[in-house]
Amino acid sequence: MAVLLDGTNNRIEFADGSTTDEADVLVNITYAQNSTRQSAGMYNQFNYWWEVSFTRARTDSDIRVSGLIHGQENYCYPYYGTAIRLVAPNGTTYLSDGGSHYLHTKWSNGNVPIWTEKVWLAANINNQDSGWKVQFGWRHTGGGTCKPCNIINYNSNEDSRARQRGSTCIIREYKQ
Amino acid sequence: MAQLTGTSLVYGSGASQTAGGGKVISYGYGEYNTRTSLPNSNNYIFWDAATINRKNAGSDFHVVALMPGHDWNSFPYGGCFVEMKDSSGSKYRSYYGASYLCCGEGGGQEITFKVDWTFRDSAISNNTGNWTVHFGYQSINGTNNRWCNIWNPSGSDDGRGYQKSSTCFVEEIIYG
Repeated sequence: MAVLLDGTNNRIEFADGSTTDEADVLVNITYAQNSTRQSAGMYNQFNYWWEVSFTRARTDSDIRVSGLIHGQENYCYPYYGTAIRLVAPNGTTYLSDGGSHYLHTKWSNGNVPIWTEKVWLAANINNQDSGWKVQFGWRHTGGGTCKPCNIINYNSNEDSRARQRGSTCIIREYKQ
Repeated sequence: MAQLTGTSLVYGSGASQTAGGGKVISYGYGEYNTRTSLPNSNNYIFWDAATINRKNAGSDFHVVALMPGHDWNSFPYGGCFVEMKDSSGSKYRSYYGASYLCCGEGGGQEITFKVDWTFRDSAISNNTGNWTVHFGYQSINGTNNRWCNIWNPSGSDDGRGYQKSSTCFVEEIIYG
């Protein structure tokens, strides 16, 4: 069957039977990676080791951030201090302790993966489009400082068998 | 100028499209940030996480979740599941694609429960309308268990940390 312009149903129908009935609600995707070995900082107020810029195409969209960070060598645990922050073009920030979590092992110099899975709904952020940022970091209650691991993006300095490790994130913009 | 040519829709840029799939057509999101003691139980739903309005009777659901826990109890256990319920109340449960990991250091440490599972259209009903996502646990031998003692840990579990939350994103996808 050829591709059909179906004026009755106001759609295009393809040879496999699929149609253009439903619009794609995924508006935009930004991917970033960071493979620079670095020492993790001791923070009290929220601070970050990685900032990723992205362009928000719409003023009314939801922002989803997914990430996998390669940490190494235990420091604070169980801690529960990792966080992520969204920064609007006008500088307004949206900090989330939720949607960020990590796991250390019983070996002091083992892997410390940090996962991110967070959505900021449009109702909870401002209506600016264009240049936004996502920041990956942590904070500490009271007056102390802490960090979830000693090294981010470890390499053969930590284990002579290791290749350079890298962290990744995907920022997706949705509107339905 | 876009043209219909044989089995393709050809855009002015030269790009072509031969199917209407390969898109996300709906999504839902849930987040829960209350520190909760989980019961030693069997066939227990601990979170009604998200609602999604299904647009297409032949679509798939992709569920992604990140849930923090504290203080181990049962492991490896193998009884955690992700479940969806359709608009008529029929339930579809998967013990695949739902896995957690305890810090091996001992009790009183962090636990990470991650879900990444697709309910294919062939495994679920063709109901459209509101579907819901649930997470729970059930052993095969009828014993009572739990994947952690505390779900969504907070400063009560480590004085340096903050209230953590669990996140769940579900998207309706037409592959192609």
